[in-house]
Amino acid sequence: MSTEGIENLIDLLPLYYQRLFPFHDYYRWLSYGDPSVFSRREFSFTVRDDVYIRYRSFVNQDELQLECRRLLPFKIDIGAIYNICPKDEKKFSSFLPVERELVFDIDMTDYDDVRSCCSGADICTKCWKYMVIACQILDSALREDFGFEHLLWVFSGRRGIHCWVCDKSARELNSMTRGCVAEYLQLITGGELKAKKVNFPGPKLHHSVRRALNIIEPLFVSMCVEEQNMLGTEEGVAKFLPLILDDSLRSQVKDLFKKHTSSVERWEAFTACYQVEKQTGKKWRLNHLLEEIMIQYAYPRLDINVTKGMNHLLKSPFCIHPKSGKVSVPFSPKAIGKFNPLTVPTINLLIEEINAFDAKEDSIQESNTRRKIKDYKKTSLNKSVHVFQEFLRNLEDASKGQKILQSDMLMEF
Amino acid sequence: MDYVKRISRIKPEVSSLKETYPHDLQLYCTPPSGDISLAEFQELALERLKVLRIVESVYVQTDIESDKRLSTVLSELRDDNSLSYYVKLLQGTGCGTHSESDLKARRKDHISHFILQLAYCSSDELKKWFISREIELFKLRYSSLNSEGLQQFLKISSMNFVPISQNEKEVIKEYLTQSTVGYTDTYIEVHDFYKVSFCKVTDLVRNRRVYVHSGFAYIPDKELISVFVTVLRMQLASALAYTKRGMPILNTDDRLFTLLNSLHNTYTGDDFTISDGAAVPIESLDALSKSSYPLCMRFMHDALRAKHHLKHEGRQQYGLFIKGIGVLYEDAVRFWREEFCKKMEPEKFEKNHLYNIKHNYGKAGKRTNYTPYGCLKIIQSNVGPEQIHGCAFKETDIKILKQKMLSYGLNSTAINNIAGYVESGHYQIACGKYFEAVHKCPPPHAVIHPNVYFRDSQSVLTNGNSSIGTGQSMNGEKNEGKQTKPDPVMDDADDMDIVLSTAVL
Ligand code: SF4
Ligand SMILES: [Zn+2]
Repeated sequence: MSTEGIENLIDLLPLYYQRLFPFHDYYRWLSYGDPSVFSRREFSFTVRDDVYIRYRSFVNQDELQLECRRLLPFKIDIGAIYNICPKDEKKFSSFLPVERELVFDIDMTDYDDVRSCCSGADICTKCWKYMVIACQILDSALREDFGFEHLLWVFSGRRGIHCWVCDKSARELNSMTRGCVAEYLQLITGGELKAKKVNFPGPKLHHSVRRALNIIEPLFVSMCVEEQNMLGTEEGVAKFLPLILDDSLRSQVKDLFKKHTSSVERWEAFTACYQVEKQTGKKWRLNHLLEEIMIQYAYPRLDINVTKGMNHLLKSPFCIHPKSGKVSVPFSPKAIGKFNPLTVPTINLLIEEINAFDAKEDSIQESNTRRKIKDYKKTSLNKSVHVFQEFLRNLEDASKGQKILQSDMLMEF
Repeated sequence: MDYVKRISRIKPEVSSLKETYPHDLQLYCTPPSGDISLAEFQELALERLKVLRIVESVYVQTDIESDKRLSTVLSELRDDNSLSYYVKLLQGTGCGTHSESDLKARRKDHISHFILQLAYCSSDELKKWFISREIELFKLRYSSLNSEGLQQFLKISSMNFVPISQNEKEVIKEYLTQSTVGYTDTYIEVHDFYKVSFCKVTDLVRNRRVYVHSGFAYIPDKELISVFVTVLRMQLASALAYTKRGMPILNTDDRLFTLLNSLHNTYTGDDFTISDGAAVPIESLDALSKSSYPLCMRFMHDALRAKHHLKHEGRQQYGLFIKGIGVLYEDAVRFWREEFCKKMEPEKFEKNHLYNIKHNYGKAGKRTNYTPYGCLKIIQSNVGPEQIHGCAFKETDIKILKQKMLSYGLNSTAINNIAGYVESGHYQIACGKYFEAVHKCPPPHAVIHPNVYFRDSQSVLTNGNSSIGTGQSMNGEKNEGKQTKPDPVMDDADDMDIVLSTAVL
């Protein structure tokens, strides 16, 4: 994969911010029906030559739009909503973040110790499955357990996904509660020096873990054992064995692995041995070993600091990844199974599409009678904007509902 | 001094205290008001810090089962007489009794908590440490409440919870059984569950110990403590953030600033009163007394060498001090025996004094491992005729003090400077200035304990980070300059009261 990025990005960005970036919907989102909320939001821009500008804020859509067209940011990051407009920040000592979407960041590089198909910034359809699982597990937990409804899922532009929980109650969480949600969802903990990163002590398995396993189990063998060749190499076996804390089981498994060569055979040998041992050995430590292993290999790996902090910046939807040229597109979690990161439109493609469309139109009709059609509709960005708009409709309906409820309550009093 | 003043003072009258402190447990919602002395301020701070360290040490020992933690902490607290009011607090059942000593303990709990807030608000790491320890302490105390105490506490904290209906429970029974960690199926079947916003029980949710659905956590009756823990945690987090913003006002007071700083510099939990280094041979005490002892200890050491005797309080104060710097039991026995027996029959020594040394080293009697006295205790001690213990700056005639310092090689500027503090009653500041004059650099920590003084002195001398170790003459000029620099003016030096007013907190 190239690391030098898109050479002519700076030439393409003017047209992108002029005709494609969905400023109108973007403003609908970030204002949440209240212009003051928008104006207190921090934006930060990375412009040409890696110049980084923090604490920008804009009173309305026009101002943001103008600035983007002027500065042509390579990257836009979204920060928190502050008590004071961030651009006035220096004048006040009590400058504090007051609201912020609850955000999640899952990056493929955190899976390097379990994926064998690629490493680092690279991704392929095999390892993308980790993202599919992550999205499904987090989406269901956030909705079912925490009751959140307005989840905006976004492809990060290269090798990961972001989730923006936009419910009012989520935006208003304090950082302690954010930490609580983050840790509730974080099952894998520990660094290089800790082999076994998942432990479920005791006889019970929490319903959220059970639900995650229901998502992982049907895919585990084909995805982790087979495709990622979990036990097919010396290295893989060396990573696996320390997860078995019970000495006698571990040495049994070690011997068994010598008799088999393929990853699948080894896995089957392990599970068979484990079942026997678990039933006869009465060892509490073995209680959830299988579940622990599956979670360690396939459960979402969260960068929980991003979630915990209120003023952590996160890359905005619809900006262009400067290396891959791909757009950070929103996607529907229901359709995550069909989402292919490799075919996400790049800025080059979008501009070709727009030009091709216009040329075709021109050839059919006289230019002065050209149909009024939104530019993004001429491109493969159309689908993503639709996903975004559907999210916005739900968000706005809920906020209307909230307002009606509030006025009803006022009437009652 | 710039800190805000308040006129009203806490009058420890039982009736008003009972209104302020109606319960053994509190959530520290309002800061205390009124004045306390610097002495009490320090004492309370150090004592609470000791308790928090004990609590921490018990929580980190994973082999102590959770229901044994309270008794382990209590037994450690009982080893230290000065912490007896914490024993009371930790055993408080709620509102069973409101005796004067109960109320005093509650007041100390309240004030000491807020003092530590001052010391622990400055960095995120310190905040985190403090909040965690306070919560552990709170949990232990909560576990001592009886059911009436709990009901009263709920009421005082205006928390009104209603358990979920039997019907509702029936519908989600499977999930409750699956996800309520640490409770048997029968317990879950029989006991009440409460439905609370997950934000209110973050500790339980964070660790996946309860069933969570649609933003609500379903908690068994016993876990109501978690609601308090969350409230306390939030309360502390915002209080510390708020306190931090108020800190610049406090920092204008030199004494407070150094005290608060020194508190958190030693926060990591090592007991500064006990040497962490190698054993100190008694042969080196003469040299050490000159280089690293604070004056109180140097005077006693010199007196012992000269008169071959020290009275009981002196033996206690000095004996525990040398134990703290690292003199081993056998060596201590030898030290005292050799010195005393120059004037005394060996039998008499064995009979009258050996026991005491054993006692101090925890080898006899209650087997309490006594810790060395802090400055506060030393300053407050009663010094009778022919006794030489107590704080050297307080108990020595100013003329003699000046002569002594002159004979130790201090220059007259430094001596007069120190004498100024002594005369206005700022003994510990004087002691710090003395340190500075001897070491040519200010003490790394405020002088609050002779053993801290000693340890700081040793680290300055051995690390040479302050230029001393490498040779005085080389740095003479620079140090000269430093010494003549005028000290911050103490414009209100006779007022020893620290104001703990709401305006500051
Ligand atoms: S202040 Fe403390 S160390 Fe200094 S002389 Fe007095 S008691 Fe000793
Ligand atoms: Zn791959």
